Amino acid sequence: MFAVAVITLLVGIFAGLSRLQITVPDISLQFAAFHGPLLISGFFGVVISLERAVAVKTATAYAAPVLNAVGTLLLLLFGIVAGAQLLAIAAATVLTVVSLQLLRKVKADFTVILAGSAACWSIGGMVWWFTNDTARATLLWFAFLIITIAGERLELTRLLGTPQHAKRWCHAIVVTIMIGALGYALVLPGAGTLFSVGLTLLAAWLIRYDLARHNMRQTGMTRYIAACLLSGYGWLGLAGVLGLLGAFVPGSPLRDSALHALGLGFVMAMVFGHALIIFPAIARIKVAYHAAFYIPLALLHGSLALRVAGKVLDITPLQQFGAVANALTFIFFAVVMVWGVRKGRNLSRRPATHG
Amino acid sequence: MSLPPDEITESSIRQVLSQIIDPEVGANIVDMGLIYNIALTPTAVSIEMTMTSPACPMGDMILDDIDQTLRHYLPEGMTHAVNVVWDPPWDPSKMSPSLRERFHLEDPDNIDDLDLEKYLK
Repeated sequence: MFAVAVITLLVGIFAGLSRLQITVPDISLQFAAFHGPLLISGFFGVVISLERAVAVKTATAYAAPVLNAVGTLLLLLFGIVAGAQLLAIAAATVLTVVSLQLLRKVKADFTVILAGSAACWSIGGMVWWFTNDTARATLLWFAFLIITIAGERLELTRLLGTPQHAKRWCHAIVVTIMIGALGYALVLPGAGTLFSVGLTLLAAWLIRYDLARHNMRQTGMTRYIAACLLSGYGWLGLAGVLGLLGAFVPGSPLRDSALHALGLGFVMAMVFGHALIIFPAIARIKVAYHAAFYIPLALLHGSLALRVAGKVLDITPLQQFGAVANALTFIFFAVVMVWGVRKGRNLSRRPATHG
Repeated sequence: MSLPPDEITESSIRQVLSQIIDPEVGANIVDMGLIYNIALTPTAVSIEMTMTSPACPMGDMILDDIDQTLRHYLPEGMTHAVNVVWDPPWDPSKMSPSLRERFHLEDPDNIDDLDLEKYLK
Protein backbone atom coordinates (compact mmCIF):
# COMPACT_ATOMS: atom_id res chain seq x y z
CA MET A 1 0.00 0.00 0.00
CA PHE A 2 2.82 2.35 0.87
CA ALA A 3 4.39 1.67 -2.54
CA VAL A 4 1.09 2.54 -4.25
CA ALA A 5 0.99 5.79 -2.27
CA VAL A 6 4.52 6.70 -3.38
CA ILE A 7 3.80 5.89 -7.05
CA THR A 8 0.58 7.91 -6.85
CA LEU A 9 2.50 10.82 -5.36
CA LEU A 10 5.08 10.75 -8.16
CA VAL A 11 2.51 10.46 -10.97
CA GLY A 12 0.42 13.19 -9.32
CA ILE A 13 3.43 15.53 -9.12
CA PHE A 14 4.39 14.90 -12.76
CA ALA A 15 0.76 15.39 -13.78
CA GLY A 16 0.81 18.76 -12.03
CA LEU A 17 4.07 19.80 -13.71
CA SER A 18 2.67 18.85 -17.12
CA ARG A 19 -0.12 21.40 -16.55
CA LEU A 20 2.53 24.11 -16.38
CA GLN A 21 3.94 23.02 -19.78
CA ILE A 22 6.95 21.43 -18.13
CA THR A 23 8.35 18.36 -19.87
CA VAL A 24 7.55 15.22 -17.89
CA PRO A 25 7.57 11.47 -18.63
CA ASP A 26 4.93 10.67 -21.29
CA ILE A 27 3.07 8.31 -19.00
CA SER A 28 2.18 11.21 -16.70
CA LEU A 29 0.61 13.34 -19.45
CA GLN A 30 -2.58 11.29 -19.58
CA PHE A 31 -3.13 12.03 -15.88
CA ALA A 32 -2.86 15.82 -16.15
CA ALA A 33 -6.59 16.12 -15.43
CA PHE A 34 -6.21 13.93 -12.34
CA HIS A 35 -3.52 15.93 -10.52
CA GLY A 36 -5.85 16.83 -7.63
CA PRO A 37 -7.65 13.48 -7.27
CA LEU A 38 -4.35 11.56 -7.41
CA LEU A 39 -2.63 13.66 -4.77
CA ILE A 40 -5.49 14.27 -2.34
CA SER A 41 -7.94 11.39 -2.71
CA GLY A 42 -5.29 8.94 -3.94
CA PHE A 43 -2.06 9.65 -2.05
CA PHE A 44 -3.39 11.29 1.12
CA GLY A 45 -6.42 9.02 1.16
CA VAL A 46 -4.14 5.98 1.41
CA VAL A 47 -1.70 7.60 3.86
CA ILE A 48 -4.31 8.97 6.29
CA SER A 49 -6.48 5.86 6.29
CA LEU A 50 -3.38 3.68 6.71
CA GLU A 51 -2.23 5.87 9.59
CA ARG A 52 -5.65 5.47 11.25
CA ALA A 53 -5.61 1.69 10.61
CA VAL A 54 -2.20 1.36 12.28
CA ALA A 55 -3.68 3.06 15.35
CA VAL A 56 -6.99 1.16 15.39
CA LYS A 57 -5.60 -2.25 14.31
CA THR A 58 -8.82 -3.79 13.00
CA ALA A 59 -9.37 -5.54 9.67
CA THR A 60 -12.15 -3.06 8.87
CA ALA A 61 -9.79 -0.14 9.40
CA TYR A 62 -7.22 -1.67 7.01
CA ALA A 63 -9.97 -2.10 4.38
CA ALA A 64 -9.96 1.69 3.80
CA PRO A 65 -6.36 2.07 2.54
CA VAL A 66 -6.61 -1.23 0.63
CA LEU A 67 -9.80 -0.18 -1.19
CA ASN A 68 -8.34 3.22 -2.01
CA ALA A 69 -5.02 1.78 -3.19
CA VAL A 70 -6.84 -0.69 -5.49
CA GLY A 71 -9.03 2.12 -6.87
CA THR A 72 -5.99 4.33 -7.52
CA LEU A 73 -4.21 1.44 -9.27
CA LEU A 74 -7.27 0.88 -11.48
CA LEU A 75 -6.94 4.49 -12.60
CA LEU A 76 -3.15 4.44 -13.02
CA LEU A 77 -2.81 1.06 -14.73
CA PHE A 78 -6.04 0.75 -16.73
CA GLY A 79 -7.46 4.26 -16.83
CA ILE A 80 -10.66 3.11 -15.08
CA VAL A 81 -11.86 6.39 -13.58
CA ALA A 82 -15.13 4.94 -12.22
CA GLY A 83 -13.15 2.30 -10.30
CA ALA A 84 -11.07 4.99 -8.60
CA GLN A 85 -14.19 7.04 -7.86
CA LEU A 86 -16.27 4.22 -6.38
CA LEU A 87 -13.46 2.67 -4.37
CA ALA A 88 -12.47 6.09 -3.01
CA ILE A 89 -16.07 6.59 -1.83
CA ALA A 90 -16.03 3.11 -0.25
CA ALA A 91 -12.65 3.74 1.43
CA ALA A 92 -13.73 7.14 2.75
CA THR A 93 -16.97 5.70 4.09
CA VAL A 94 -15.05 2.96 5.90
CA LEU A 95 -12.70 5.59 7.35
CA THR A 96 -15.71 7.61 8.54
CA VAL A 97 -17.23 4.57 10.26
CA VAL A 98 -13.89 3.55 11.82
CA SER A 99 -13.38 7.11 13.10
CA LEU A 100 -16.87 7.13 14.63
CA GLN A 101 -16.12 3.79 16.31
CA LEU A 102 -13.26 5.51 18.15
CA LEU A 103 -15.93 7.34 20.12
CA ARG A 104 -16.46 4.10 22.03
CA LYS A 105 -12.91 4.40 23.32
CA VAL A 106 -12.65 8.14 23.86
CA LYS A 107 -15.72 10.34 23.78
CA ALA A 108 -14.14 13.61 22.73
CA ASP A 109 -14.73 16.40 20.26
CA PHE A 110 -11.61 15.64 18.23
CA THR A 111 -12.86 12.11 17.43
CA VAL A 112 -16.06 13.58 16.00
CA ILE A 113 -13.99 16.06 13.98
CA LEU A 114 -11.82 13.26 12.56
CA ALA A 115 -14.98 11.42 11.48
CA GLY A 116 -16.26 14.67 9.92
CA SER A 117 -13.04 15.04 7.93
CA ALA A 118 -13.40 11.51 6.55
CA ALA A 119 -17.02 12.29 5.64
CA CYS A 120 -15.73 15.26 3.58
CA TRP A 121 -13.50 12.85 1.63
CA SER A 122 -16.47 10.55 1.09
CA ILE A 123 -18.80 13.34 -0.09
CA GLY A 124 -15.99 14.71 -2.28
CA GLY A 125 -15.75 11.28 -3.90
CA MET A 126 -19.50 11.26 -4.50
CA VAL A 127 -19.34 14.71 -6.12
CA TRP A 128 -16.51 13.46 -8.37
CA TRP A 129 -18.54 10.33 -9.27
CA PHE A 130 -21.80 12.15 -10.01
CA THR A 131 -20.36 15.18 -11.83
CA ASN A 132 -16.98 13.96 -13.17
CA ASP A 133 -15.91 17.50 -12.27
CA THR A 134 -12.82 17.35 -10.07
CA ALA A 135 -12.87 21.14 -9.53
CA ARG A 136 -16.22 20.94 -7.71
CA ALA A 137 -14.91 18.24 -5.39
CA THR A 138 -11.61 20.00 -4.70
CA LEU A 139 -12.63 22.00 -1.62
CA LEU A 140 -14.26 18.94 -0.03
CA TRP A 141 -11.03 17.00 -0.57
CA PHE A 142 -9.05 19.86 0.95
CA ALA A 143 -11.55 19.98 3.82
CA PHE A 144 -10.70 16.30 4.42
CA LEU A 145 -7.01 17.18 4.87
CA ILE A 146 -7.48 20.47 6.72
CA ILE A 147 -10.05 19.13 9.18
CA THR A 148 -8.01 15.97 9.82
CA ILE A 149 -5.10 18.22 10.83
CA ALA A 150 -7.45 20.48 12.86
CA GLY A 151 -8.80 17.46 14.77
CA GLU A 152 -5.35 16.08 15.50
CA ARG A 153 -4.10 19.47 16.68
CA LEU A 154 -7.21 20.03 18.82
CA GLU A 155 -6.45 16.72 20.50
CA LEU A 156 -2.96 17.90 21.44
CA THR A 157 -4.06 21.34 22.62
CA ARG A 158 -5.56 19.54 25.63
CA LEU A 159 -2.05 19.54 27.08
CA LEU A 160 -2.38 23.30 27.30
CA GLY A 161 -5.78 23.08 28.96
CA THR A 162 -7.54 24.82 26.07
CA PRO A 163 -10.47 26.82 27.51
CA GLN A 164 -14.02 25.90 26.54
CA HIS A 165 -14.65 29.07 24.54
CA ALA A 166 -11.56 28.31 22.41
CA LYS A 167 -12.82 24.80 21.75
CA ARG A 168 -16.21 26.14 20.70
CA TRP A 169 -14.43 28.48 18.30
CA CYS A 170 -12.55 25.53 16.83
CA HIS A 171 -15.80 23.56 16.41
CA ALA A 172 -17.45 26.54 14.70
CA ILE A 173 -14.47 27.02 12.37
CA VAL A 174 -14.48 23.34 11.36
CA VAL A 175 -18.22 23.48 10.62
CA THR A 176 -17.68 26.69 8.59
CA ILE A 177 -15.03 24.98 6.47
CA MET A 178 -17.26 21.94 5.94
CA ILE A 179 -20.31 24.00 4.96
CA GLY A 180 -18.18 26.18 2.68
CA ALA A 181 -16.69 23.14 0.92
CA LEU A 182 -20.09 21.46 0.57
CA GLY A 183 -21.68 24.66 -0.70
CA TYR A 184 -18.87 25.04 -3.24
CA ALA A 185 -19.57 21.53 -4.54
CA LEU A 186 -23.24 22.47 -4.88
CA VAL A 187 -22.23 25.69 -6.69
CA LEU A 188 -23.88 27.88 -4.04
CA PRO A 189 -22.93 31.57 -4.16
CA GLY A 190 -20.57 32.75 -1.42
CA ALA A 191 -19.49 29.20 -0.50
CA GLY A 192 -15.87 29.82 -1.49
CA THR A 193 -15.82 32.94 0.66
CA LEU A 194 -17.27 31.03 3.62
CA PHE A 195 -14.59 28.35 3.14
CA SER A 196 -11.94 31.10 3.09
CA VAL A 197 -13.28 32.67 6.28
CA GLY A 198 -12.90 29.24 7.88
CA LEU A 199 -9.30 28.87 6.63
CA THR A 200 -8.30 32.31 7.89
CA LEU A 201 -9.86 31.78 11.31
CA LEU A 202 -8.36 28.30 11.60
CA ALA A 203 -4.88 29.70 10.89
CA ALA A 204 -5.38 32.34 13.59
CA TRP A 205 -6.78 29.73 16.01
CA LEU A 206 -3.87 27.35 15.45
CA ILE A 207 -1.27 30.08 15.87
CA ARG A 208 -2.98 31.18 19.10
CA TYR A 209 -3.88 27.87 20.73
CA ASP A 210 -1.69 25.14 19.22
CA LEU A 211 1.13 23.48 21.10
CA ALA A 212 3.61 24.49 18.39
CA ARG A 213 4.32 27.97 19.76
CA HIS A 214 5.30 26.47 23.13
CA ASN A 215 7.42 23.81 21.47
CA MET A 216 9.52 26.32 19.56
CA ARG A 217 11.32 26.75 22.89
CA GLN A 218 12.24 23.03 22.88
CA THR A 219 15.10 21.42 20.98
CA GLY A 220 15.66 18.74 18.34
CA MET A 221 12.75 16.97 16.69
CA THR A 222 10.13 18.66 18.87
CA ARG A 223 11.22 22.12 17.74
CA TYR A 224 11.54 20.97 14.11
CA ILE A 225 7.94 19.68 14.15
CA ALA A 226 6.80 22.96 15.71
CA ALA A 227 8.64 24.92 12.98
CA CYS A 228 6.90 22.82 10.29
CA LEU A 229 3.53 23.44 11.91
CA LEU A 230 3.91 27.19 12.42
CA SER A 231 5.25 27.77 8.91
CA GLY A 232 2.31 25.74 7.57
CA TYR A 233 -0.16 27.87 9.52
CA GLY A 234 1.22 30.91 7.70
CA TRP A 235 0.38 29.35 4.32
CA LEU A 236 -3.04 28.31 5.62
CA GLY A 237 -3.71 31.94 6.55
CA LEU A 238 -2.45 33.13 3.15
CA ALA A 239 -4.75 30.64 1.38
CA GLY A 240 -7.64 32.04 3.43
CA VAL A 241 -6.76 35.62 2.49
CA LEU A 242 -6.41 34.71 -1.20
CA GLY A 243 -9.80 33.00 -0.94
CA LEU A 244 -11.32 36.16 0.53
CA LEU A 245 -9.88 38.00 -2.49
CA GLY A 246 -11.82 35.64 -4.76
CA ALA A 247 -9.41 32.73 -5.33
CA PHE A 248 -12.21 30.17 -5.14
CA VAL A 249 -14.41 31.91 -7.68
CA PRO A 250 -14.25 29.77 -10.86
CA GLY A 251 -11.64 31.08 -13.28
CA SER A 252 -9.86 33.22 -10.68
CA PRO A 253 -6.15 33.76 -11.42
CA LEU A 254 -5.51 33.35 -7.67
CA ARG A 255 -6.99 29.85 -7.54
CA ASP A 256 -3.73 28.03 -8.34
CA SER A 257 -1.85 29.99 -5.65
CA ALA A 258 -4.53 29.43 -2.99
CA LEU A 259 -4.79 25.68 -3.66
CA HIS A 260 -1.01 25.20 -3.64
CA ALA A 261 -0.63 27.35 -0.52
CA LEU A 262 -2.99 24.83 1.09
CA GLY A 263 -1.65 21.64 -0.48
CA LEU A 264 2.07 22.37 -0.44
CA GLY A 265 2.50 25.13 2.13
CA PHE A 266 0.13 23.88 4.79
CA VAL A 267 -0.43 20.15 4.25
CA MET A 268 3.06 19.19 3.03
CA ALA A 269 4.69 21.17 5.85
CA MET A 270 2.64 18.99 8.23
CA VAL A 271 3.86 15.91 6.33
CA PHE A 272 7.51 17.03 6.53
CA GLY A 273 7.10 17.50 10.28
CA HIS A 274 5.24 14.31 11.02
CA ALA A 275 7.00 11.99 8.57
CA LEU A 276 9.56 11.29 11.29
CA ILE A 277 6.75 9.97 13.47
CA ILE A 278 4.25 8.56 10.97
CA PHE A 279 6.73 6.71 8.72
CA PRO A 280 8.22 4.74 11.62
CA ALA A 281 4.70 4.02 12.91
CA ILE A 282 3.58 2.64 9.55
CA ALA A 283 6.80 0.98 8.39
CA ARG A 284 8.13 0.13 11.89
CA ILE A 285 11.48 1.63 10.96
CA LYS A 286 13.04 4.18 13.28
CA VAL A 287 14.05 7.53 11.74
CA ALA A 288 16.62 9.60 13.59
CA TYR A 289 16.15 13.35 13.62
CA HIS A 290 18.91 15.58 12.29
CA ALA A 291 19.06 19.34 11.78
CA ALA A 292 19.39 18.63 8.02
CA PHE A 293 15.61 18.16 7.99
CA TYR A 294 15.31 21.95 8.08
CA ILE A 295 16.85 22.15 4.58
CA PRO A 296 13.96 20.51 2.67
CA LEU A 297 11.52 22.48 4.85
CA ALA A 298 13.17 25.74 3.81
CA LEU A 299 13.28 24.58 0.17
CA LEU A 300 9.58 23.68 0.31
CA HIS A 301 8.59 27.14 1.48
CA GLY A 302 11.11 28.98 -0.71
CA SER A 303 10.12 27.16 -3.90
CA LEU A 304 6.41 27.60 -3.13
CA ALA A 305 6.95 31.32 -2.58
CA LEU A 306 8.59 31.52 -6.04
CA ARG A 307 5.75 29.54 -7.57
CA VAL A 308 3.07 31.74 -6.00
CA ALA A 309 4.98 34.93 -6.86
CA GLY A 310 5.36 33.72 -10.47
CA LYS A 311 1.64 33.12 -10.75
CA VAL A 312 0.52 36.33 -9.03
CA LEU A 313 2.99 38.48 -11.01
CA ASP A 314 2.22 36.50 -14.19
CA ILE A 315 5.85 35.49 -14.74
CA THR A 316 5.45 31.97 -16.12
CA PRO A 317 9.16 30.94 -16.02
CA LEU A 318 9.28 31.87 -12.33
CA GLN A 319 6.14 29.81 -11.64
CA GLN A 320 7.62 26.87 -13.59
CA PHE A 321 10.95 27.16 -11.77
CA GLY A 322 9.14 27.21 -8.41
CA ALA A 323 7.07 24.17 -9.36
CA VAL A 324 10.12 22.14 -10.48
CA ALA A 325 12.00 23.18 -7.33
CA ASN A 326 8.96 22.07 -5.30
CA ALA A 327 9.09 18.64 -6.94
CA LEU A 328 12.86 18.34 -6.39
CA THR A 329 12.31 19.26 -2.74
CA PHE A 330 10.35 16.03 -2.26
CA ILE A 331 13.25 14.03 -3.65
CA PHE A 332 15.65 15.88 -1.36
CA PHE A 333 13.35 15.23 1.60
CA ALA A 334 13.30 11.51 0.69
CA VAL A 335 17.13 11.51 0.67
CA VAL A 336 17.26 13.11 4.13
CA MET A 337 14.68 10.55 5.34
CA VAL A 338 16.83 7.65 4.06
CA TRP A 339 19.79 9.17 5.88
CA GLY A 340 17.61 9.40 9.02
CA VAL A 341 16.64 5.74 8.67
CA ARG A 342 20.31 4.73 8.46
CA LYS A 343 21.08 6.74 11.59
CA GLY A 344 17.95 5.35 13.24
CA ARG A 345 19.25 1.79 12.83
CA ASN A 346 22.17 2.63 15.09
CA LEU A 347 19.89 4.33 17.63
CA SER A 348 17.50 1.38 17.80
CA ARG A 349 20.25 -0.74 19.30
CA ARG A 350 20.11 1.47 22.41
CA PRO A 351 17.23 1.74 24.85
CA ALA A 352 14.41 4.24 24.02
CA THR A 353 13.80 7.20 22.72
CA HIS A 354 12.43 9.23 19.84
CA GLY A 355 13.70 12.56 21.07
CA MET B 1 23.06 -2.24 32.43
CA SER B 2 20.13 -3.87 34.24
CA LEU B 3 18.90 -2.74 37.64
CA PRO B 4 19.73 -4.95 40.66
CA PRO B 5 16.61 -6.93 41.72
CA ASP B 6 16.37 -5.11 45.07
CA GLU B 7 16.16 -1.77 43.27
CA ILE B 8 13.12 -2.73 41.19
CA THR B 9 10.44 -0.49 42.66
CA GLU B 10 7.53 1.45 41.20
CA SER B 11 9.62 4.58 41.52
CA SER B 12 12.63 3.11 39.68
CA ILE B 13 10.39 1.76 36.91
CA ARG B 14 8.80 5.22 36.52
CA GLN B 15 12.29 6.70 36.33
CA VAL B 16 13.25 4.23 33.61
CA LEU B 17 10.04 4.92 31.66
CA SER B 18 10.63 8.67 31.91
CA GLN B 19 13.39 8.23 29.31
CA ILE B 20 10.70 7.65 26.69
CA ILE B 21 9.80 10.88 24.95
CA ASP B 22 6.75 11.74 22.89
CA PRO B 23 8.50 13.84 20.22
CA GLU B 24 5.34 15.65 19.21
CA VAL B 25 4.90 16.99 22.73
CA GLY B 26 8.54 17.08 23.73
CA ALA B 27 7.77 15.47 27.09
CA ASN B 28 8.24 12.03 28.58
CA ILE B 29 5.35 9.60 28.97
CA VAL B 30 5.53 9.62 32.79
CA ASP B 31 5.27 13.42 33.03
CA MET B 32 2.43 13.32 30.52
CA GLY B 33 0.50 11.11 32.92
CA LEU B 34 0.19 8.19 30.51
CA ILE B 35 1.35 5.61 33.08
CA TYR B 36 -1.66 4.75 35.26
CA ASN B 37 -0.40 1.86 37.34
CA ILE B 38 2.71 -0.26 37.89
CA ALA B 39 2.28 -3.61 39.61
CA LEU B 40 5.32 -5.58 40.74
CA THR B 41 5.91 -9.21 41.69
CA PRO B 42 9.36 -10.73 42.29
CA THR B 43 9.41 -11.95 38.68
CA ALA B 44 7.18 -9.59 36.71
CA VAL B 45 6.38 -5.95 36.03
CA SER B 46 2.87 -5.13 34.86
CA ILE B 47 2.12 -1.66 33.52
CA GLU B 48 -1.28 -0.15 32.88
CA MET B 49 -1.15 2.92 30.68
CA THR B 50 -3.15 5.02 28.24
CA MET B 51 -2.54 7.17 25.17
CA THR B 52 -3.83 10.70 24.61
CA SER B 53 -5.75 9.58 21.51
CA PRO B 54 -6.92 6.23 20.07
CA ALA B 55 -6.42 7.71 16.57
CA CYS B 56 -2.69 8.28 16.99
CA PRO B 57 -0.50 5.73 15.17
CA MET B 58 2.43 6.51 17.45
CA GLY B 59 1.09 4.19 20.15
CA ASP B 60 2.96 1.17 18.82
CA MET B 61 6.22 3.09 18.73
CA ILE B 62 5.80 4.06 22.35
CA LEU B 63 5.00 0.45 23.27
CA ASP B 64 8.07 -0.73 21.34
CA ASP B 65 10.20 1.76 23.23
CA ILE B 66 8.79 0.63 26.57
CA ASP B 67 9.54 -2.97 25.64
CA GLN B 68 13.07 -2.13 24.49
CA THR B 69 13.77 -0.01 27.57
CA LEU B 70 12.45 -2.54 30.07
CA ARG B 71 14.37 -5.37 28.38
CA HIS B 72 17.48 -3.28 28.90
CA TYR B 73 16.89 -2.40 32.55
CA LEU B 74 15.10 -5.40 34.03
CA PRO B 75 17.26 -8.27 35.32
CA GLU B 76 17.30 -11.53 33.41
CA GLY B 77 14.30 -13.73 34.18
CA MET B 78 12.03 -10.82 35.01
CA THR B 79 9.15 -10.39 32.58
CA HIS B 80 7.08 -7.33 31.72
CA ALA B 81 3.65 -6.67 30.25
CA VAL B 82 1.93 -3.47 29.18
CA ASN B 83 -1.83 -3.07 29.02
CA VAL B 84 -3.28 -0.02 27.23
CA VAL B 85 -6.59 1.13 28.70
CA TRP B 86 -8.99 3.94 27.76
CA ASP B 87 -10.87 4.14 31.03
CA PRO B 88 -10.34 6.45 32.74
CA PRO B 89 -9.62 8.62 29.70
CA TRP B 90 -6.51 10.77 29.79
CA ASP B 91 -7.01 14.40 30.72
CA PRO B 92 -4.57 17.26 31.46
CA SER B 93 -4.93 16.91 35.25
CA LYS B 94 -2.86 13.70 34.96
CA MET B 95 0.22 15.62 33.83
CA SER B 96 3.06 16.20 36.28
CA PRO B 97 3.22 19.61 38.01
CA SER B 98 6.45 20.44 36.16
CA LEU B 99 4.91 19.75 32.75
CA ARG B 100 1.77 21.69 33.65
CA GLU B 101 3.98 24.58 34.63
CA ARG B 102 5.87 24.35 31.33
CA PHE B 103 2.60 24.59 29.41
CA HIS B 104 1.30 27.33 31.74
CA LEU B 105 -1.59 25.07 32.70
CA GLU B 106 -2.57 26.67 35.98
CA ASP B 107 -5.64 24.78 37.13
CA PRO B 108 -6.63 21.79 34.99
CA ASP B 109 -9.55 21.02 37.28
CA ASN B 110 -11.28 24.09 35.91
CA ILE B 111 -11.17 22.69 32.41
CA ASP B 112 -14.11 20.51 31.49
CA ASP B 113 -12.03 18.57 29.01
CA LEU B 114 -14.39 15.77 28.11
CA ASP B 115 -17.67 17.62 28.14
CA LEU B 116 -18.78 15.60 25.11
CA GLU B 117 -19.09 12.57 27.37
CA LYS B 118 -22.27 13.84 28.99
CA TYR B 119 -23.91 14.52 25.62
CA LEU B 120 -23.13 11.09 24.25
CA LYS B 121 -24.37 9.14 27.25
